Amino acid sequence: MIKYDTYYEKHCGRYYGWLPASKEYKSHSEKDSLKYFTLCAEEAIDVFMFELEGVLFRDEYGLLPNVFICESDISIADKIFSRVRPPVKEALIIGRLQEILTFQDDNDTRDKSIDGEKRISDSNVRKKLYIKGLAQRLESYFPFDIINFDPYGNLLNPDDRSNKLYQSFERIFELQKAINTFLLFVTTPIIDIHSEFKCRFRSDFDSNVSNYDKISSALKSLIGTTNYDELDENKRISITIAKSIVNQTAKNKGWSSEHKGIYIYENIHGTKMLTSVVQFTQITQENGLFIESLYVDDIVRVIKNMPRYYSYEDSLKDQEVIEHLKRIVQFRENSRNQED
Amino acid sequence: MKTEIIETTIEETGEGTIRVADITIAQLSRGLYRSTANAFKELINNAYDADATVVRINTNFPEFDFISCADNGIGMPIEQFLRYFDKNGIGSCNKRKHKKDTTEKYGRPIIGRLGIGMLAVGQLCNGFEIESHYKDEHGQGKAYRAEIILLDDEIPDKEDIMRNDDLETKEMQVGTWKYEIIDYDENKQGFRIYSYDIRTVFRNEMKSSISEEERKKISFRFSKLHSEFYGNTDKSIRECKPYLETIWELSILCPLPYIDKEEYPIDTDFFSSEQKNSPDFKRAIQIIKDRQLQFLNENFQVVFDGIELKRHIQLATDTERIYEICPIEFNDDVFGSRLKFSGYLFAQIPAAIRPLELNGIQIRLRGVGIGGYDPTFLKYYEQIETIRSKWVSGEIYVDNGLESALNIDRDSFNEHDEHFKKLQQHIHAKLGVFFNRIETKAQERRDEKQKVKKIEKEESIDNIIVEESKGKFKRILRQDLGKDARIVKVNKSNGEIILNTAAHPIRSKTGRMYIENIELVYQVAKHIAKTSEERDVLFSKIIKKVFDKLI
Repeated sequence: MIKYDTYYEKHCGRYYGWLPASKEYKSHSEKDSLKYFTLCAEEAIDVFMFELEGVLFRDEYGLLPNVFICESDISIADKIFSRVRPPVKEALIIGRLQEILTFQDDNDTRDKSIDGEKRISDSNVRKKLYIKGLAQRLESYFPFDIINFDPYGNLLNPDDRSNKLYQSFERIFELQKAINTFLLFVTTPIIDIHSEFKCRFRSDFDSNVSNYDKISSALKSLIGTTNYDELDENKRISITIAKSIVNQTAKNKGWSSEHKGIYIYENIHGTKMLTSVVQFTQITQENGLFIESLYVDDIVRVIKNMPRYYSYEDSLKDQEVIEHLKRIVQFRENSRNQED
Repeated sequence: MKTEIIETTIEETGEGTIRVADITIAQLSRGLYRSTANAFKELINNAYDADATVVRINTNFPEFDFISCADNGIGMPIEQFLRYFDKNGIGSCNKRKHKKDTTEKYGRPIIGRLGIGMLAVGQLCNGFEIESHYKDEHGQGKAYRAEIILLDDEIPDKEDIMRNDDLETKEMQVGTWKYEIIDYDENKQGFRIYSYDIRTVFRNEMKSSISEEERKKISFRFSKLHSEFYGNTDKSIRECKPYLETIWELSILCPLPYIDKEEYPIDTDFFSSEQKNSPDFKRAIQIIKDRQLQFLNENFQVVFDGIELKRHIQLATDTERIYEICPIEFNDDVFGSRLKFSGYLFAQIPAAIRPLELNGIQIRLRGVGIGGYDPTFLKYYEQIETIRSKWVSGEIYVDNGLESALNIDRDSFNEHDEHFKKLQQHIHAKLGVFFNRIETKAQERRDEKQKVKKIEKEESIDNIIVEESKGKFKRILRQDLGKDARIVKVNKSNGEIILNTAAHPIRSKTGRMYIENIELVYQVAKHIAKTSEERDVLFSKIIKKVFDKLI
């Protein structure tokens, strides 16, 4: 079991990626406090980090009114509830994000609700209606300024047709339509990648090289090759996830992407994780003309600067990161004591 | 499908139907508890009996679309689960094995007897899941997860049961269950019960009780919760509406310590030193302190929606009142079995106990409140109609006996039980003495108040005379002039207006007071004024002032 209070390798991504991007986003925003959606762990490090760093603010009642949390494991949800006590405007959303965001009405649920007058005797239907209720509630909270898509599960496995996690990732772009720009953190293990994704990554990479000179040149000048197989593993996965998952999905849903950073870290069990920090802007008539060049520029940016890699050992040497995480934990505990 | 289970062999998976021997008992799965708090109380009691140090209840406030109750106790072994659901049926569980009356680790008095507590959650939801992580008798970690779906529609209404003879003996299916063995997780040691399948009635009631403003006010701080109960509640906890009322009830009913380690429900600073030296006072306070210590040692925490609950009992807070307290103790055999209890009676004179849910007497059996405070004092008819009964609050802790009197909802007693009768008799005897003491104190207080009031009135009249005569006259009271002398006599030379208090012009005290003061004011006006017109004006002015003070 991972202890997030000392999960320094993960905090590298937060500290160097999530935090500066969020501060920058906030500085360009006219809002006092940003609206934040997270799938945080029971330690809620991200929530307390943003509060400590002034991205999120508590109100006069001690609440964090713009924080929304979704958690499927009730034992964790309960701990988040008591730890964060609850900062959220509404209650925690207790359910699996992928089930909630991909919910679709069927004959059992159409024109019905869990709060309906008529009692539903079938427990399976009641279960579906519960998910429907959550979906309606969560959808009503959209759009968010920052979405921390850090789910339990692998975005790259199984294949994308039966991959509800991937489908829910796509759904986010549809639900964000009421906002012009937002920040997204996407975290996923980069192991056990489904063969379908692997094929797609390869073909997308090759088509990029053949279709866009700028990308091809960047690869040659910065890495020395345009051959997919010759790329360093971390570089390859960063480029392909940016291209095939993030930018492609966003573009399909009418958004342009700007990668602020990609961070790969390895935890104590040797599992490699990737977290991307991306700002999306809605494609309008104005910027729609430049969509191709915006896309190419973003991929070149990834080729040029990303990822930053942190081995487990590296993270243990980064005093700045260690101290920062300790400060957050201390801040969280102090907040709790004050509440008591 | 029903599965035959051999006592020692546990299958990897299993499922079956839940059987209940009696159709009336089937109603249990719909819930038999008076309030939401009582249903939660049963789950908390189970955690207490399982030697848990903490039990967390989460209602997913303010949506109430999910409830969970998780403890870190010894868990429920799969064998017990199967005995409960597959073999013997609900209510067959015997928690007090080998005649043991206390829990193994913390020595807590075991609350449960029948094993129906788990189904209490049926009052709040249509189905639920449980997960238990426990160590078996060899210390090996084991775990299972189970799903229980209650089949509400299968259970006939009470009305049907009463009218249909055939239904009475029919074995009822009240739900289905299935389980699977899972890996033991040390971090999940204990028992958890959760449900997303919430009954609409519960959800709607809770949701409707929380407005946006109230949600902010609650803010999940213990200190705020306490002030919510005492600062913002004029009369009754009901003003707090169902959600907070549930928290209140739970905090009062559960086996928990009082609000603060050092503070007891009764602040002894409000008692006089004479009272503090009395044996009654010392004994009553000692009983309270001992109970607090007992609860603290039991090391049991209840966290409801992130708030740690304590017993929010706060009595004696106003210096303007007089307080009385007396101990109650009993320890004897009653019809061949031991009945032992102790507690206290508290009174504030002359003011009703607030919130009014604390008015009356609460019986705590094995630390758990049975019902709320009973304002009838177990049907004490002699004084119950009087205002004084509203001034009293008390708690009785029953350590031995009385359990056979407990009704199945654990919220009330069978009043014909011998132990209950004895308890009632003893408390009523104490109440008789206590109410007399209160009455005496109240009378003393009234007399004292009247005396003070009289002095204040006299002083204010003196001031009026001096003020209106610009210091020329002052009033002197004389008792020695005899009843035939004039009521008021003026001595111009030394400026004395002498009021003869021995004179009794008429029988009525009030009438005499009027006559005395009219005469007094007339003499003052007469001796100050230069003309008769001026005298009349002055008289009218001064008499108004005097009567304003007097009446």
